[in-house]
Parts: sequence; structure tokens; C-alpha cells
Amino acid sequence: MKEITELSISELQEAVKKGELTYSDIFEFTAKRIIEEEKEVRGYISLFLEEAREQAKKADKERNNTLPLAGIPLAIKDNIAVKDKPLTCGSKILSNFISPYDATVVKRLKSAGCLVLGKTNLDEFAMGSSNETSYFGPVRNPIDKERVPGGSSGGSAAVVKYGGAIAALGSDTGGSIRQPAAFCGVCGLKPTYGRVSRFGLVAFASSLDTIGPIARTVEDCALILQIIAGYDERDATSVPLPTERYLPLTGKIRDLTIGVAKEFFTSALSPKIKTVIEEAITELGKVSKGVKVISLPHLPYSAACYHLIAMAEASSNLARYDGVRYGYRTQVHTEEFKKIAQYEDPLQVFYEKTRGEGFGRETKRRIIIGTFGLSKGYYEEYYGLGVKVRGLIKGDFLSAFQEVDVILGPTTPTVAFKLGEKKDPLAMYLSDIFTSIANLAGLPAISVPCKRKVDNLPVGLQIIGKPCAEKEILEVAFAYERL
Amino acid sequence: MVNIDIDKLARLARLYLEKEAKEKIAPSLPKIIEYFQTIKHLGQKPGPCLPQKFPCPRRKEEAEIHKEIRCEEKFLKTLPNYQDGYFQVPHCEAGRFTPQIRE
Repeated sequence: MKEITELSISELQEAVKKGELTYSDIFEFTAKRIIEEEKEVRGYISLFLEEAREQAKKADKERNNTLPLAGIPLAIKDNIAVKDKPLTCGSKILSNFISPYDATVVKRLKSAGCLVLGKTNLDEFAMGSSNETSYFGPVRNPIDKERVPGGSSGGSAAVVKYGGAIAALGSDTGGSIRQPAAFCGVCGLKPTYGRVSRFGLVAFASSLDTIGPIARTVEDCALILQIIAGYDERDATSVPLPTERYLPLTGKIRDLTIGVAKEFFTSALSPKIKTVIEEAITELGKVSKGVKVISLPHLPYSAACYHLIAMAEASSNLARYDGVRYGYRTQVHTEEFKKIAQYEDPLQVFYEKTRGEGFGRETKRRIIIGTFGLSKGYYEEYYGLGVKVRGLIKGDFLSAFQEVDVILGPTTPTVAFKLGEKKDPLAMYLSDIFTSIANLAGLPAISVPCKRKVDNLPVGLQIIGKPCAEKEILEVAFAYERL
Repeated sequence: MVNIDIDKLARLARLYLEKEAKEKIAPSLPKIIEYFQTIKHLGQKPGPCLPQKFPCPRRKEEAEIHKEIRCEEKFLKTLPNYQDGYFQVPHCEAGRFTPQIRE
């Protein structure tokens, strides 16, 4: 029999039904992997192993139940609310916050029978591409522990890779699911904006944020998406469209035309990755209707446009963390506080000190830039410009999808880099150069590991689809996985 | 080169920046703002000012949505209670918390 890590969720359920495995076996396997790996990887911020163990035992007693995720241990990124569990967002300012309710996605997963193993580490407030900015310490890539797992859902991708969870939920604002999935050699899907409810997701950039699955196989991604997707009245941006049936996947893509955007293959892309991606496109070209070269002329500007919009929205969204009603609060009885408050408005000092002590450096940098972009005299020149360029990027996709059904390209310009390697924040922002474009246009996209590695490190193939065409990108990804 | 007054921006953002943080953040700001200016020329291009809508396959009928909402109600009973127009959140103090129990 195969190892637990080699089985998809449906295969695990089949094995349990046949009596070859129990849910407790699956849980104990993941718990063992967590104990072995967590000291170094640090993918989890909080773990609920005892609770999950009891739930696994309960699931074994009710083995005849037909819930799709019965007894399956999942991990949730720590910016998604799980009732009565910590919700830190990897930040000091929320380090003592306990969520009073479940996010819609978590509620749906729980109703499908899953076990929530723990909350995974992330860049502070999901702002980062390397998972080095968390208040709880950096996450290490389980493939090479000197390297980053990507970000911001690096914790989710890392734990799925080493077997510390069967699958996980992440959030994607500019590539935060796909980039870590590519760096860790797993699958990560960012759904269409509005396809999955954001209710219970801590807002970073509200017009870009999405929740999606990270799993070892495309089929597992499809299964989790099937459960979490759908209209939700508690999210005003939820799409009022029926959810497609994503399963079963057939891998038949004979009637789909594959598009390849030439702008992906610039000097920013590592030559070795370029070769691997070209091979993947050639292979997929043989089983599809054909490959067509298209143009997305504004792709080179997408990272600048994305960061402009994301930082402006983040500065506004993060204004709520002031220590008054919840979260970290500065000490007001210190001599230092009293001294400053003698000359200035004590309430303003309280806000400034709370936020200054509660946020990390990268978050502060982004709040300051976002504030600049939204300030009087600069609003039209910066934020207004970002919104305009976003419209142009959407226009590019509208034209491209007249000719092709899906667009292929690399997920990242490089393989996973070393911890501390990218000290320049601008260099770090450019890690999102190929992924943020799907967020700006609100399109679904998936990253699947390529067949061939570069320097023994995984490479991600990105497949972007039309709005609400998750089924198509899943079919293409599944076809590639089976080649 | 853009002139950025970090003290003024920090004040606007209600952020207290210690000397060390200011020294680390301030030098990177002009470079990032300059990077944003690489898209400035696109502002002159004719094009939509607002994000365009992609064609949608089929919008849901109202009755269909309501049916789905009713179905989801049973899954979503964990909303926090309201009090005086606000959500009730757990009271956090020095690492301890008292979770609110939904009635």
C-alpha cells in the first residue's frame, strides 16, 4: 500500500472504507510528522492536536458517514477565523486575540467533517513573499531548510509538503497561495474573486483578497474548492452564480486552446525555469486543441500596480487596530508614556504607541506608503493611477480570452531563495511579478509542480482561466499532473 | 525624486516610529515610490477608468439565491452577538480571554 502522503483525500476515504486505514491512523501519521518537523520548519502558530485526536476517534466510530472530508486533518492559515481559536495574522498586535466565530469557509469545511489541526504561520497580515516577517518567526522550506517556503501562505504550503496536514487553506492577495505552492512543490489554487466567501478572513487588500486550497494533488484542490465555493450573503462581493461541479476530473482538454503570454518570458525569468515551463507547455500542447502565443502588454506593470493598490487598501484596513477594543495595547502607566502625553494628546499617543509597538517593520513600511498614496494631492497620481492600470490589465485579459481558453506561464521568476537573501524590499515585491496579474483581474489561477526540478528545487506552472472557469483550469492542471 | 516626510506620514497613519525603525524604513520609501512611477505613462492611455466587467455565464435567479441562503443559515449560526450596534468580541487582557457564548 502507498504511504499516506501519496494518497489523495478520496483515496484515503476509500482506504478507510475498505478497513485498510482508520481516521486515527491518518491523524497519528500527521501528528508524528508535525512532531518531527515543526522544530525546524515552524509552519504552525497554534496546534489543537488533542481536540483533533478525539475528533478522529469519533469519526472512526461513525465510519459509515459519507461526509467528503470526514476525519481528514486540515490546517488553516492564521488570518482565517476559527471559533474559539487564536487569530494572530502573524502579528504582535493580534497575538492575544481569540476569534469569536468561524469564517464561512471554516464552517463549510467543518460541516464536511474535517479536523482542524492548527493555524499556520504567515507573513504579518499576509504582507510578504517569503514568510520572514511573521512575529512568530520565519517558516523554513521543508525541501531545503535554508530556503524560504514563499509567502504569505508559506506555513500552509510547508505543512502540506512535509505531511503535517493533508491539505490547508491559504489566502491569495497577490500570489500568496500560488507562490508558496510553487516553492514547496504542492498545488495551490486561487479562485475567482468572489467565488469563495471572504467572511471571516482578516482583510489586507479587500478588492484583491481571496481564500483557496493548498494540497498535494489537483483533485484534492478541486474537492476542497467544491466545499468552500458558493454564494454567501455575509460577503457583499460574493458572486451570485451557481457553483460548478468540479469533480470528477477527467483531464480531457482536447477542446481547450492554450494561450502563452510572451510577456512571461522576459529577462526577469530564470533561464532554467524558462526551459522547464516551455517543456510543460509543449507537453500540454500535445493533449489540447493547440497552443497559441498571445500578448498581455501590461503584464510588466502589474507588480507596481498591485503594490500601489494593495498598500493603499492595507493602510485603510489596518487602521482598525488601535488597541481600544481588542488586540495588543501599549502600557499607559509607564514614565515614558506619561512624559510624552504631557505635551501631546494622550489618546493620539496611545494609538501611535500601540500601533508602533504592535506592527512589524514591513507592515509599517506598507502602511506608510499606502497612506502616502491615499493622501491629499497624491491620491489621483498614485491610487487613482493604480485603478486605471488595473482596468487596462483587465482589458488585456478580455482580448486574450477571445482567442484562448486558458493562459499558461511560470508561477515565479526564480526557485525558492535563501532565508535573508532578499534584503531589499523592492526585490521582494518583484517576487509577485507573475502572480499579481490574476488578482488584479480577479481571475482564477492554479499553480502545479512541474515534472522537472531546477537545482533540485520545485518549479510551479501557473494556469490562469476565465472568470468562474475554475473547472477548466483544474482540468488542465489534472491533465498535466497525469502526463 | 519624490520628497517624503516620513514623520508627517507616520502621524497620519497613527504610527509611532522609533529611531531605528525610521532609519530602516525611510531610505527604502523613495525607491518604492519611484518604482510606482514606472506606470505613470499609462495614465495618459485611453482606456477604462474603472475595472471592466467580464461577461458572466448566468446570473442566479433571486429565488435560487434565497434558497441557498436558507441552506447556509444552519452552517452560519456562529456570528458574534450584537450589542449597541457592535459585534461583541472576547475581552482580552494580559493574555487571558473570556469567550462570548452565543445565546
